[in-house]
Amino acid sequence: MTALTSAGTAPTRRDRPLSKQNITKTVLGGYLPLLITTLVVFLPLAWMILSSLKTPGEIVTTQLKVLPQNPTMQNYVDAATTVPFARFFLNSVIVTSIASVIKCTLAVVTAYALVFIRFPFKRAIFLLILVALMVPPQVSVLPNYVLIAGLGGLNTYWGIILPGLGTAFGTFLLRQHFLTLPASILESAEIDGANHWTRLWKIVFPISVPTIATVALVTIVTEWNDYIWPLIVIDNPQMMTLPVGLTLLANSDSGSQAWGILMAGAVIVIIPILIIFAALQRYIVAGLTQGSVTG
Amino acid sequence: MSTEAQPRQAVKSGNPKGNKDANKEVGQDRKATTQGRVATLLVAPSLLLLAIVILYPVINAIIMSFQKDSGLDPATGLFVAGGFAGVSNYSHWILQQCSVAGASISCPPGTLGSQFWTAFGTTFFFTAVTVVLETIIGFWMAIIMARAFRGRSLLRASVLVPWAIPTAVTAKLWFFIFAFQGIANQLFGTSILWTGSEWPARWAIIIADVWKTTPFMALLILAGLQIIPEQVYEAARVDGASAWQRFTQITLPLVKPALMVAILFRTLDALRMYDLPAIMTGGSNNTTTLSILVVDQIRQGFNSAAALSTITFIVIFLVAFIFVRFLGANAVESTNPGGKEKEK
Repeated sequence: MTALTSAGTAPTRRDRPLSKQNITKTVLGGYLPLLITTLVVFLPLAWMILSSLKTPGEIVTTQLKVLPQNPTMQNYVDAATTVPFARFFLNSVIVTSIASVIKCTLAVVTAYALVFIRFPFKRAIFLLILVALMVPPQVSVLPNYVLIAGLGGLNTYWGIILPGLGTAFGTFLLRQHFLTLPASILESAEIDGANHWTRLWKIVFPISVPTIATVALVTIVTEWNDYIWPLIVIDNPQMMTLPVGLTLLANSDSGSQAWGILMAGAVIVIIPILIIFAALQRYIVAGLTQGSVTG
Repeated sequence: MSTEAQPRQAVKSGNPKGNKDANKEVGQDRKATTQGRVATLLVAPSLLLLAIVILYPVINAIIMSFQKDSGLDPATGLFVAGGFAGVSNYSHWILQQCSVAGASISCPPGTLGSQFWTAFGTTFFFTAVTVVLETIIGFWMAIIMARAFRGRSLLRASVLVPWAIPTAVTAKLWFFIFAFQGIANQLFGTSILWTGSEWPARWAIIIADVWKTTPFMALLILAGLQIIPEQVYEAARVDGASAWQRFTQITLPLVKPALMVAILFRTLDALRMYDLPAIMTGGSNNTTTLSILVVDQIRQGFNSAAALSTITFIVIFLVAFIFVRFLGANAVESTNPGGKEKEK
């Protein structure tokens, strides 16, 4: 009950859980924002889904019709037959999973070393990582393209994955988190003779699950949505990822018909990530709450 | 006064890890012997990757930015080999000097060179507006998400949805919504050419960006809010602190490190904004950001584009430096006490 009114009113009012003020506070502070936020988030998406079910004539019209008059799956059929969506999906899954695993592992071990191990130039190395975060993608795109093309990486999975591995976001976030961990835990482990590997996986990793899960989520979403680089490095439709494939869809059709098909394609792109996301989201929520208990 | 002082004390005793002073205690490796080999093993893969895909391109770009484009000189019609160009690629952008017929003149309107300061202003305008909006709304969302009530997980899940959608899709979706015969005009009974004139186009991009990225801010701020123990608020409430006092005296100071990091990240990201304006307006009507200008320039000449992207990089670096140095984005500072001792 306390949590219900955690940003609530003075103590005297809070003593009666079902008092009028309390209910008003809960509605205004919890459910009303919930409703507004959900509407703001979902109305554009709902519009996208509704439009994907409409015929071209209904989409571009001067008379607004919210619901499709003759719901049709034709747009989806068209989208799926115009471009190989299943293949795009597979490509996206492969690229995202390999890249995310590598990026998260690197982030964890690098952040651990930067915080818990003593070695020279530590600060310089961290600053370097920080600076890497500031490089505009356009700076690296061209030299990277030359490099990857030279190594024969055009239209390959590793060609898509490699340049993306250089992001330092996870390292940075995890380092900030590791700095807040109590020193005592690791000191006692050290006295017990645990080496760095054991300390990392048996102590630091388990108590950092919430932050690592957040890093994982951010990484997966970034990889799944990556647009500029795959667009440049891939020109074979068989190797395209979903976001790139979507623009292929937009280019292959023109006129009013394109909107419905494009919206259908967009729905196909977001559904998988919504599912993965919903699954991971529960984990994040649990993780964050757990973090507040240990923290 | 006592109500203000006591929560602060409670903070210190109740949460030894969450506050900044405690970070000094995290010099746990002070006793450890030098472990260079383990450290090398752990750090080397990351550094190697950064060297290949970040450092190498940056150095390459800087070298290119001092080179002349080889090709036909439009003025003389003769082939010119590349070679050292001095700072002409930079003055081309910053002083808007175009070289025509061997002489430097001001770039005529319409050329990419003349757009530098406009793009510069546009980029900062977008960054300032979107980051401010996203911080305020994101903070508000994070506070609501941090509360316990029925449907909280639903709220958290749904709030994060726009951020999980590819930018390419977001841009197409909002372009569709803001189309002339789109739903935005029909709902409000207006007939604005949203993506066709300066201010509506800017607002359309800002709305799309805020819709898309606020959840990310909220997530980072929420992570910061989670480390504030509930007992601190309990103690403050027992002491009679008002909601506003609890917010300004407990929440704000304790969440500040996470908040500043979130703002820093968003700012760096916003300064590099490309996808949304590129897809929604193609950079027309003064919505060209520095990144769009770079990509446009790549098609006209690599070396000049390299100079422009180096300028962009330096601008972003300066902004980040100001953040870290003066606004207390705890990116580097928090480790200075421990870090320096460790190195000595």
